[in-house]
Amino acid sequence: MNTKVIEFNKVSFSYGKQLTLSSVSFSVCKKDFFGIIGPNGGGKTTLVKLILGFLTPDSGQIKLFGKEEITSENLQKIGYVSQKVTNFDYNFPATVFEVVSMGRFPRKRILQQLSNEDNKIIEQALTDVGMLNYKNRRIGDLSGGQQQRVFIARALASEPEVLILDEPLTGVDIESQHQFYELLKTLNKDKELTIILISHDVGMVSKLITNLVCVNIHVTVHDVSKGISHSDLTCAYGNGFDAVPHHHD
Amino acid sequence: MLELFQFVFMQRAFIAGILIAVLCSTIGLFIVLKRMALLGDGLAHISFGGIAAGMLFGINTLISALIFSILGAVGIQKLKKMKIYSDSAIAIFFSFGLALGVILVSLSRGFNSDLMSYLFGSILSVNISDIIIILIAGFAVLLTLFLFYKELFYITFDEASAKAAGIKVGRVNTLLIVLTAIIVVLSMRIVGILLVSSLLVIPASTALMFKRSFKQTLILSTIISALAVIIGLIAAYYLNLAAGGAIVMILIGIFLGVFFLSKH
Repeated sequence: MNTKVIEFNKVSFSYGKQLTLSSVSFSVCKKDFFGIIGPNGGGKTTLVKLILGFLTPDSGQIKLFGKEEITSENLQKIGYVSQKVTNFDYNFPATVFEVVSMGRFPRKRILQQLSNEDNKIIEQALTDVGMLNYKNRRIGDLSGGQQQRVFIARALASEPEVLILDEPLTGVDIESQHQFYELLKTLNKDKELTIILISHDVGMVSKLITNLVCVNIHVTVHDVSKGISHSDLTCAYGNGFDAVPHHHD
Repeated sequence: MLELFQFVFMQRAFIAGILIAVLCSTIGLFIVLKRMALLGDGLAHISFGGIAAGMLFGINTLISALIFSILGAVGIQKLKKMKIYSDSAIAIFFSFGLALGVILVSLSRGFNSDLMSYLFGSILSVNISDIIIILIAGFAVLLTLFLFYKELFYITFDEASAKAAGIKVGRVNTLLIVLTAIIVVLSMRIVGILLVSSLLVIPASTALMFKRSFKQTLILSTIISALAVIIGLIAAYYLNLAAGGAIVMILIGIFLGVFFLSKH
């Protein structure tokens, strides 16, 4: 039996009078790979902010790892890479290693410094994303795709049970995108990581995900482990939507 | 051997100056990277109200300044939470402290030389009790910085991710600003209210131009700051200059030197 890691039960949320999510219910189980799609402003990021406790639902309940209360302990089990993560100060004096080491901080008590064990985990996370050779480079000197991988390594260094990625490939070239999807596949299959990926590139993620979540005020979840049908997509984008987005170069 | 080290007042000036330099440059890097360079200046002006109050009511001015500075720091944080822009929050408290100070000074029948020494610093008149206070408070602040280094580093780089990772961002921010308030008051003896922000901002800004790791930048910032205090004090002694002003001029000289070298 699969354990539920995230549960939404009739959750509604509004920004002021603007209803953003209406009576949302779904659960994410261990080892699931959820792809979240939907139009801009449809509530995808709001959904993630509710999971992380940045926002509180107007009604309904959210459980993380079976508990309704959002604790630091629960948040430590979630590795989150935000849409805005690469909007940092490029002049910031931090090396790749220092950035990834932040992933270990929440697991350390105030007095504790990073141990050899922590350093090994950090190097492993860098190896997983193929960035170990860059560990002494300054983060601001890397390309967008490389920075993105470093931030995923930071999330991995926290040894999460769930990885949440919000539009991680904005501004990343096609070649890096392919490598990135391969990485996610390995993490999900080999490391048994539960992954929630917000993306508008349905065509790319369709081969990886187990469940497709359409978010447009209402939320519908489709089991797509056997492929995606046209009706799976119209739920998010309406009937005007008639093609899977794909790239022509 | 340099004759200036024979004088007790110079020995004290070097001890106090170097310790303050280390404190200011360390916390200064966090402040500069968080775009709060004027926080130190704001807190120093708030402390002015505290110094004036201390003088009027006969309380130890270091303590009254400390109370004002810490309350101001907490107040700035509260205003920020209520969606007042950070620089506006600093400006509001800045004006309040200065206005209160001016009123209290006028009540105590005008300026006196003590007040001037707070405005422009008086490192050469640092006495043994000042040294003890700076040593104890200084080491307490450094220890706290060391203990919360991880959290401070994380929130300075990226508050949103730190929050998502379960770090109490609000509390760590308050800690940073309260530590700054303490350091500002300790530093006023050295360079004075009007020049306090120089020790916080210039060493960090200079060190950043070397484009190194965070830890290396922190160390560079400390070295630059200590060097400026030593050279500044020696220059002040031999050329008979105001010590606070000389230290700041050396800092600016180092900044300009590194700036032009890094451009070539």
